Amino acid sequence: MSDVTRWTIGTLIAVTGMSIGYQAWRKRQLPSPLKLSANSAQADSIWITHSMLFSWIALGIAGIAQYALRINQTGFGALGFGMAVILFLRALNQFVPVMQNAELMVDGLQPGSTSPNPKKSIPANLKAWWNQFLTKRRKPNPSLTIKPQTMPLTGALAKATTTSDKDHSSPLPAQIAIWSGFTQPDSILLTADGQILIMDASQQTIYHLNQKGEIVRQWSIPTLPEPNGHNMALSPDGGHLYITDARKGLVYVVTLEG
Amino acid sequence: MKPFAMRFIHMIELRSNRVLRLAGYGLLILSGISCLLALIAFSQEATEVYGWAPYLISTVLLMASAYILIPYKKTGPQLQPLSPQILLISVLILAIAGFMRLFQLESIPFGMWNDEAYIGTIARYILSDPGYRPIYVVMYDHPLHFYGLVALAVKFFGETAFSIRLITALFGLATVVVAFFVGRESLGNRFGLCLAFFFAISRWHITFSRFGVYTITLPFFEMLTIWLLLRARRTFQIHDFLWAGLAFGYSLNFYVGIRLFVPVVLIYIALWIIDSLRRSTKPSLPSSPSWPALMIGLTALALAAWFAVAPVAQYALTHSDAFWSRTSKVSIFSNREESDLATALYSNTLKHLLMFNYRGDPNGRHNLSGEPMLDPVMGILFVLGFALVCSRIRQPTYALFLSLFVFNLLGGILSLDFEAPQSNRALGSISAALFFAAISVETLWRSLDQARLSPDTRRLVLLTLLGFGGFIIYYNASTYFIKQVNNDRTWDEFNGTETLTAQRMVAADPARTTIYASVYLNNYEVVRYLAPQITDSRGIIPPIGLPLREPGDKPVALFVDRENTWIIDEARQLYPNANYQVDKTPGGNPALYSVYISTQDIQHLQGVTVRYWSGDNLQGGPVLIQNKKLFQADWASQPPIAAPFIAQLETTLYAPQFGDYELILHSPDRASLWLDEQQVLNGSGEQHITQRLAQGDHVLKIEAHSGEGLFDLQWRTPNTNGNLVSDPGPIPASSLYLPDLVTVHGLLGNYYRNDSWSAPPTFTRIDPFLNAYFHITPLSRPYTVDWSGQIEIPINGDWTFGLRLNGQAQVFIDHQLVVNATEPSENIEGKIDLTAGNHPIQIRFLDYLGGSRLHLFWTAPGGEKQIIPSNVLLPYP
Repeated sequence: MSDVTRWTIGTLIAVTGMSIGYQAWRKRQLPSPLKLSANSAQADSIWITHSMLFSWIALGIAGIAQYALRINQTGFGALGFGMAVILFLRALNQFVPVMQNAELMVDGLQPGSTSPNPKKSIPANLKAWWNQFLTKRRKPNPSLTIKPQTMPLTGALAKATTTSDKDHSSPLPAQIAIWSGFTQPDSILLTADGQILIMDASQQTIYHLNQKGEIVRQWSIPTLPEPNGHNMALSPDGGHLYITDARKGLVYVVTLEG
Repeated sequence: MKPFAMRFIHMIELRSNRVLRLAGYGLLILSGISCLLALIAFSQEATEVYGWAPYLISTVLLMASAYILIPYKKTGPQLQPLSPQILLISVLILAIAGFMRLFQLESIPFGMWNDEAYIGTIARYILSDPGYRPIYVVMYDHPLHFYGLVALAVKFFGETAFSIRLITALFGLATVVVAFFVGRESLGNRFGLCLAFFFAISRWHITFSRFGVYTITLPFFEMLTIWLLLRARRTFQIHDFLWAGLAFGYSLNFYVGIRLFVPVVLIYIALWIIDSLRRSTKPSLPSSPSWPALMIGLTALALAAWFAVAPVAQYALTHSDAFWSRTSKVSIFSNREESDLATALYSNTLKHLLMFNYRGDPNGRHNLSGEPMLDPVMGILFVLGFALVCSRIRQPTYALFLSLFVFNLLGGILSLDFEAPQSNRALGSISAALFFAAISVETLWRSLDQARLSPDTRRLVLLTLLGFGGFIIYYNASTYFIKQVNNDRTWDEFNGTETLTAQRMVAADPARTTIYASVYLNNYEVVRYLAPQITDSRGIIPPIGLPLREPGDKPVALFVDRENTWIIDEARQLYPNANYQVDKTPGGNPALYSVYISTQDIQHLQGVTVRYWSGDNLQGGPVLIQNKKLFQADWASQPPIAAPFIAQLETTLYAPQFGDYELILHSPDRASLWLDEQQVLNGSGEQHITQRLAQGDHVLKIEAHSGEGLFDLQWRTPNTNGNLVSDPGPIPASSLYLPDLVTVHGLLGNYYRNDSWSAPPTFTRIDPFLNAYFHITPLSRPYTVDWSGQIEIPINGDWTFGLRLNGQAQVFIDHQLVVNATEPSENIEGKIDLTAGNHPIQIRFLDYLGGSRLHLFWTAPGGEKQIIPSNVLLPYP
């Protein structure tokens, strides 16, 4: 066995060992995501952090594979690249971007978004990962309570402009008002008294606008994934907001305070 | 009807202003007429020159009519705005790209490849001859468009390598800009910047941006067409469809490899149509413009593409052989080393798939020989991105780039297997490869966005990414500017020696100097382009070498490449006082030998040696030895010694060509003449002899007795048919050489224009030695040669004779067959026992293959194998 071979195998073992060690350490530091149903935001955060970590490990393995190719160790190079590709795909599958072009609105994918696929993602720890591997799906508790934030409000969202089409041969049926300033407004809901709730999914924020179009409060919901065509409904007493997540097959019941 | 029409009303909604509408219609009709006129003009060779104006105008009129007829509206999803920050980074990337492509463009890489010279030559034709405007340059297998752009650059910047490369560098730079827009259209500004950055610093792309050939247009037009297609799909504006069509159509007027882009576009459009039909039948899917609207857009695209490509398409239809000749020349199906097609295809595929990360193009013009085409970081990102894209193949843009990758690789895979991997013909795959790499970065970045890292950690990660960015800039720049351009293989592939030759020739003052060059350098395309003032250089074609057959009235500059150093060896023997210079490659190896020979050095070899004996016989030694320039003397008025005396005149007579020569000897008394050891004249007064002489050196000796009157030897020489035509005249100095300095050696070769040595020979020639690769064959194949003469064996023993050859040959010594080579061989030998002394030798050679060569060597008893030296061969029996 050449030095290069020994070095390559040793590095792979070391990287794998470090990954396992890190997983064990994380497991001690934080509750298992399976137990985190009360705080799925934290669970998602860990999940994403681990995805990122695994993707960088994949990059490291690919780097070793590239080096192996460079020194004509083609077998190790191919093996390393194979491992790196599998790890990279599993780690970052949910972050592969969906093209923002209109063509790509196929099968519910939204332009500019990522395409989450929990079944193939790397979860918070190895146990959960193993469970996923056995096709067991992590089911976070869909119920959570969110307190309103006390951020100072701005009137930027309430700015309205009027447009007209000079080249249109027939009269305009109506004037059009445009509210600008949202990133990706994903869902809108009109309450019985004429107030408006707008979900900006990419900012994971729900805005509450009064009848004048002024923001009166906003809630941050970090558990929501990327824009994905969510639907909202409000309970008759206005205390609960129901949000569908078609991608994950979940319905969030959000208790609105304030 | 209205709801149906409303679906695509914005595409065909005409302006309300009637005058503008009429003007638009008028321009549309004019553009059609203009296109038609162009086609008519291009259909005849004599009228081609008139086709260009209507052709180019037709596309301008088409676009103008579209904008006048239909107002452009901002429809569809809007892209992220270009913030000052984005613009600043874009400018920075463009500055890096510009530096990489324009820095010392004239001299990096040093040299000029043949294709660059061809392109420059065509540009020269275009500028010098207003009537030369073909739509397709048959000689170099490409439409005129690229040559026209080069001609424009040459007009402004002169006939230099810079002018030719400026066009490719600008195409390269434009690709970086277009890459940004492709990325922006796909995934936003960040992705656009990433893609543009990868193009800007990719060594593969830089290499071809600084190489003055058409290939670099391939990624440019592919990315441009893709950008405009994506844009048209987003906006659904007819103008964008037209722009996409124009880009696609014009792309087909440049590098031939772009033809593999056609199926990519067709596949994408087919998927687009299927998607549109699918949406129209499945209400659950998000809505999009209906398929009739798509049909209108695609019709506009096809129309614009046709306007742009129509003349070349017409040429392709009417001259399909010429149009496809380049493709068939390099096709693996018609030309390959591996006999089994499947094996060749498999091997080619593997090599091309591995060229990004493992072993790249071996050609020094295309790459640092053997180095992977991508740097390590981009190579890794490419593999991972490729996997990511494969996992999302159902998304049309990913499918588009995957098909782009596959079809562009086919450009290399389906071409000559011995060149694989071929990064030139597969250059289009760079667009897909860098797209894949950028997708990896974008995906990683999105995970970082979501990771909610602390600000410090985020800064650290960003710094790491910036560090990687800096590393790949440094890696690509240093690999190209330090390693690649200073690599001997790159230097050679860019005709470094030939370029130096042209520079040295120009510096040698060709108006006052006779220029000689070895066979590879003489009249070479690149030399001709770079040194157009050299119109009458003379080649040294082996095995005929030195001395120079010059009158000696002008100095000579001799240029020899490193494959023909035997010329330098001969020169050092014959012209020891000449000025010798050596130019070296960047690696320190000799590249070009320059020899500057003065008129004195040339004249020093020329003349006749005359020995005088007193009295009537040759007893004792000569009392006087003189070197004379000509065979003329007036012994009566200017006796060299006191009469009576005998003068023995000896020279090496050079017959410049094969044919009948008449020698006319005037002597005041008795005189005898020997030619090649045979006495051919004996008498007094005027004597004549007509002799058929082989081209080359002959031993000529005269013994003359003194007397009253002039002594003189004149000759009549043959024409190219070998027949005597000229008037009698003195033998010029360029045909008379001092026998002590220029000895007669070699073998007499009879050359037959048939494969059976059937007499009469087409010509005969004395070849100094048999050790040559026939870069220029003496006759067209098949031909045969019969060399004969004597070989001087220095010692008794078993002698081994051998051949390295391409063809068939036999070697006879003492009329015995010693070597019988019935097929090409690197080494075939035979033994014979010989005694010291002269022995008859005969070599029969049949040249019926390409790559003609014949090397005759021997091995002395107990000695080492060596080429049989010229000085042991005698051309007469």
